Amino acid sequence: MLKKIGVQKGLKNISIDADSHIIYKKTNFSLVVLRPTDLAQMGDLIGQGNKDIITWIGKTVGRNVAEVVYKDESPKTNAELLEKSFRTLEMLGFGILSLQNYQDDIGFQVRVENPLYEHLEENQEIISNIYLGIFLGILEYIGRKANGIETEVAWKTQGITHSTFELKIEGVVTQ
Amino acid sequence: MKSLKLKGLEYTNGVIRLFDERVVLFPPSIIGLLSSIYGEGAEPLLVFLGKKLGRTMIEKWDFELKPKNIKEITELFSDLFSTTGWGQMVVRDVTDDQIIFQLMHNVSKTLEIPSKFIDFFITGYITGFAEYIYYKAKVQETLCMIDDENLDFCQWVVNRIPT
Repeated sequence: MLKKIGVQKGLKNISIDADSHIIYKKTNFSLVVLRPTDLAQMGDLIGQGNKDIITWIGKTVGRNVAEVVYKDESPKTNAELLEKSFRTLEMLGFGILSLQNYQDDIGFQVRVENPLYEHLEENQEIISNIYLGIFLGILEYIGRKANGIETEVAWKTQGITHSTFELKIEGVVTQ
Repeated sequence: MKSLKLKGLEYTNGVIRLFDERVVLFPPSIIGLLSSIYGEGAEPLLVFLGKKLGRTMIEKWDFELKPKNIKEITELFSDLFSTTGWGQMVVRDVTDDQIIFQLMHNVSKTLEIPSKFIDFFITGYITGFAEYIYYKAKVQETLCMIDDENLDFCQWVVNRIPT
């Protein structure tokens, strides 16, 4: 049937293997197609107040993405690993992410255009916490403990369509 | 290994749309993580969430691709489902009252800890489809490769409930 309905231009770096698993590049990083509202509703089931668990789920994704980038693209600096991780997240549909005001071991900002919550009518905060978790997870992968906050919030602010997260490095992750 | 291509799939500026529905590629482990919080109680929640996704998707696919009968819409569902990362869905039987699906290479098996919870979500996904075509339907996973190591597929039987 798929042959009958035809195909269109594929997604760069995203492959489907012989087992019908969606894979990022040639890694074993499996992915499935979900809607932003599915993520938000899954998060909502945990409970609006339980930010820590949502952030933890985001961190897991962030660490996975950073690991894939580290192994596949061998970034030379932490800033490069962040940039390349953001390009990966863009390919996965998280919007356009740009690294701003990066200062090694001090902090940076991430601007997100077309954030996943852009057409959601509820549970947007859950998506914000997933983003925050992802950024913290990437930083954890490179051994940095950080604190983060969304400073520009499109779903709360009329007239802006992007989101900005500010991350401040607090120290080194200790085992 | 083929590049992920599918009719209705568009990518622009960090946004992926499947027939105008925004989607995101996310690790399936999120379902296992959620389930580790809920334990056994996660099953009805995952079925509920899967059902909403399955219903939305089949409505869009039906509208855009206009299959002519139950056999065609079932094949369409299994073909498109097979491109969304959960594994390869095969239709074993279709009648006006019953459909049998088998899922080969369940993505759950690729996780560090294979999780039955992904199957609950897929049960919901199939239920969303089944209720769209049969109005009322009962969906049961009758064989599972996670429970039985001798199997290399999971099987769902969809029965139409007469109204």
